[in-house]
Amino acid sequence: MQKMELDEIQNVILSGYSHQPVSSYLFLQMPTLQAARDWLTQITPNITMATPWPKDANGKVQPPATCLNIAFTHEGLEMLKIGLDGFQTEFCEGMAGPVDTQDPTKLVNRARRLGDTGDSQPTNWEFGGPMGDTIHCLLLLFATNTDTLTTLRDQQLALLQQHEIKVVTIQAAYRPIHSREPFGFMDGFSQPAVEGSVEGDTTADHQPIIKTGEFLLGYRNEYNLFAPAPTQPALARNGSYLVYRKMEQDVVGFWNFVYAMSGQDGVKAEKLAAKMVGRWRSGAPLTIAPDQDDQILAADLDKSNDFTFADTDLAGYSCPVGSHIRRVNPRDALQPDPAASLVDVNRHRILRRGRAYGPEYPQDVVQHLLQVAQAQGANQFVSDGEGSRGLAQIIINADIKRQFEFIQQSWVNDPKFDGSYDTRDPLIGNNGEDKNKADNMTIARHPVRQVIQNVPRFVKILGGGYFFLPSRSGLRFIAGQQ
Amino acid sequence: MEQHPLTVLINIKPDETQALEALLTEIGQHIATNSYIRFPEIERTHFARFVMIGGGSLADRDAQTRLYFSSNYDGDLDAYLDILLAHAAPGLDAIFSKCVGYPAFKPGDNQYNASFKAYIKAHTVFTNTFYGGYRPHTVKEIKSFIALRQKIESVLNQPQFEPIFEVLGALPKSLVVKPNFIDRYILPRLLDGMRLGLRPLLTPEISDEPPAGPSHEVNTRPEVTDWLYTVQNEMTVISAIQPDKLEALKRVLWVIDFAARYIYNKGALGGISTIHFARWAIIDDGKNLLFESNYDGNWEQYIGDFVDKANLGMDAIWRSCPGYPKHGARDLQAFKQIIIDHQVRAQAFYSAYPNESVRNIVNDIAISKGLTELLDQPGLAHWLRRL
Repeated sequence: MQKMELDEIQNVILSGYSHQPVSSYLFLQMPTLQAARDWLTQITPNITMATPWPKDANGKVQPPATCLNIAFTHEGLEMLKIGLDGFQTEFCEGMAGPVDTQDPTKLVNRARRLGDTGDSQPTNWEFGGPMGDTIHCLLLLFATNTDTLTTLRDQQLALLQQHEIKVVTIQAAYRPIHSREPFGFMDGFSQPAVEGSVEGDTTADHQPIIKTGEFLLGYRNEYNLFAPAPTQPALARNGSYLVYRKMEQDVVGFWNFVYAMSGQDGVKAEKLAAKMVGRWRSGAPLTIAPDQDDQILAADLDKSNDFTFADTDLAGYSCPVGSHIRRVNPRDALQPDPAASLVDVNRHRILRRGRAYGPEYPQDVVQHLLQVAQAQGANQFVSDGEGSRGLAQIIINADIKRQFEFIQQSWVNDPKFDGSYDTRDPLIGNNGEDKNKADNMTIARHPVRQVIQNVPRFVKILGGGYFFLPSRSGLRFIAGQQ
Repeated sequence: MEQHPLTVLINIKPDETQALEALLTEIGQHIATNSYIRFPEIERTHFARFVMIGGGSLADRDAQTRLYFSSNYDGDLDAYLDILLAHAAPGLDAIFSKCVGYPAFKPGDNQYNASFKAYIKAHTVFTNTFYGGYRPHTVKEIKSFIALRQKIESVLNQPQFEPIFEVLGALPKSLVVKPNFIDRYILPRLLDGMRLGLRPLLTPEISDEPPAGPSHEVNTRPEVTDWLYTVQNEMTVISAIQPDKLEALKRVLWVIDFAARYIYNKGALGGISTIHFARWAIIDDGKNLLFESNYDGNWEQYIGDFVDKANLGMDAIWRSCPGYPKHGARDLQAFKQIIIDHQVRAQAFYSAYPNESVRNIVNDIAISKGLTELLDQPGLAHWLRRL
C-alpha cells in the first residue's frame, strides 16, 4: 500500500469538510508577480493540509473552525513565472479552451466533449469563459458556521485588497443539513475509497479501493503507472487537479417534466424520477429497492451503496442502464464481463467535493413546490422566486482527460452508452440540443421497455475552470520561496 | 454474401497532390451528397474512406504521397467495382486520374470499365487480418434490420399501448433473465489465462515491470484525436515494420484473422464491442503496416479499450514498429503517443449507417431474427429486452 505524505497534501483532496458546512470560493486575478508572491507567502502557512486533526481526551476529533485551500489556473502559474512543462494539456488549455483567438465565440471541441453546448457554452458563462476576466487563482474557504465564514472571508478580502489582488467573483456554497441536492435527492454516495486512507483491504460498502495515483500526482494509479506530472520536482508529487463547475439545476423544470410524463400522478412521478437517477429521493438504490422506496435501507449509507449490477440487474430492470448513477459509475455492468468492467471503471473515477448553492430547499422539495404552486394557483410547478439553485461542483482527479472528461464524454453524454440507442444522462446530460435528433431515456420493464421521449436539459453550466492544487512545498515554490 | 475488405494504395502524381487533397476534402465534407461519388447509391458499401498518406513515419520517409482507398463491401470484387463504375465513373475518374499509371481511357470509352478495374486490382494489397462486427450481413440487410426495429419502436411508443404494458408489467414475473454465466464469468477467465501464457511467447522483449518514472504527457494532434462525429469514427494508422519482426507479425495477423472469423464473430473483438470493421495489411513488400478501424465513440475511449482489454494483441502487432514502448500498451501514455504519431486523418469517410453503434446493429439483427423464429417463453423475454 502506498503511504500518503499527509503533511504535504491539501486537505480538500481527501476531505469533504463535513465539519465545515459553509464555504466561500474566491476567484482571483493577480496584478503583478511581486504582489502575487507577497500575498501567497503570507497565506501559505494558513493553507489546510491533510495532517490528522487533534483529538480530545475522549478520542473525539477536534476539527478547526476554518479551513483554507488554494488552486491555480495555467494563466495563474504563467503569471507567477512557473513553467508549464509536464502539466496536463487539458489544464494548459483550460475548461473553456483552447480559445480560438480569431474567434473567441467559436464552440471549442472541449465544450462539445463536456456537453457545454447551447446555453451552457463557455461564451455565456458568468465566470471562467473566454469573454470574462482571466482567473489566476481559486481560494477555497470553509467554516463551521456563517459567522465564522463571514469573518474569515472579510479577513481574506482585506488581505487581498492590501495586495491589490482583484476578486473576479465570490461563489458561496454549503452542505444542506439534510444532504439533499436541489433536485431533492440524497447526495454524496459512492465516493471512491482512496488507497492509503482506508484501513484493511475492503470497505464497509464492498466497493473497490482506488489507487492513490488516481487522485494524487506522484503515486501509482490504476494502471500501476504514475500519471503525467509537472517536471518541476516541487510540483510533481502530492498535488492534484481540481475541476470547478457551477451547475445550475432547473428544479422546477425537472419535476414538471417528471409529473407530465407520469400523467400528474405523484406516485408514478416519484418512481420515474427514481428511474432517471437510479436511486429514490431518500438515497435507497433501485437495484436493491426496485419497487418502492426503503427509508430504513437509505438511512444506512453503507448498505445503500453495497450493490453491483452484473449479477442481479444487468439488463437494468431495476436500475435502468442509462440512469444517472449507472452512467457516472457503471460498476461491474459494462461489457465484456464484470471483472473487466471493474478494471475499466476504476480507471475513470473522481472525488466529488461539490456543495449546493442558492437558497436552501426544505428536505422534501416536491412538497415545497406543491405548496408554492398551490399558493399561486398554478396548475404546474412554478419557481418560488427565491433565485437559482444548483451545485458548486468541485472534482478532484489526477488526470482530467482520463477521469472527469472521459466520464462526461463517454458515459454521461454518449448517446450509445452501454448498448443504448439515443440516450444521454437524463439528469445532467446535454439533452435536447441536437436539432436533428431527440434524446430519450429507455427504462427496461416487463413486458417491454418504456421510452421517455424528448428529455430536455435540466442542468446548465454557468462557469468554472481547471485548476492545479499544489502540495505544501509546491505552494512554497510557486510563491517564490525556494 | 460475404463482407470483404478492399485495400487500394496508389502513388499520387506529385503535381496533383494539392488538387486531389482539395477534391477529397470536398467529398468528405458532403460525404453522402457530393456529386462525385454518391456512396448511399453504392449500396454494397458498409464503410469507405480516402486517405492521403505521406512519407512521414514510414520505412521510406521520402516516399511519394499515396492515396489509400478503402472499402468494406458485400459480395465479390468484380460485381462491386461494376456497381461503383455504374454510379460514379466520372467521380472515380476525377480522383484516380490524379494517380500514377492511370489508364488513358475516359468514362464512356469501351475499354474504360475494364481498364479501371484492372488498374484498381493491380494496386490492391492483400489484407492480412479482417474483422467485421456483424458478419456476414450485407448493407441492405442491416438497413432493413434497422428499419424494422425503428418501426417496432414507433408502434410501441404509441401512448395508447401504455396502459396495456402497465397491466402486463404488474403480473408476476416468471421470466427473470440471468446473465449467461459461462460467457460472462468462465470464458473471460479462461481467455485471461491464455493471454498470460501467450505473453512471453508473443512479446518476449516487452517488460512485465511497470515503468518506474512518471508518464509523459502526450503530444496531442487534435487533427487526429479530436472527436469528429458523435457516433462513429475512423482511424488509419501506418507504421514501419522492423525487418526482424516481419515473420512473427505475419503469424500474429494470421491468428487474429482466424480468430476474427471463427471466435470473435459475435460483435466483439477481444472484448472490445465498438468495432464495426477493422483490418491490418502488410504493405510495401513487408516494410510498412497499415491499420484501419471504423469504430464507435471517441479516440480516448477506443485507445483506452485497447489498453484495458487487448494490450496483448496490441503488443504482439505493434512491437514490430520501431520505437514501440518497452513496457508495451500497458504504458498508457507511451502507447497513446505511438498511435498518435502514426495516425493519419482520412480526407473522406463514409458510413452506410452512421447513427448506429455496433451494439445497436447486433441488437437489431437479433430483433429481426427473433421475429422470424418461433419463440419459446424465456426466448421471448430475452427478445423483448432488446427493444
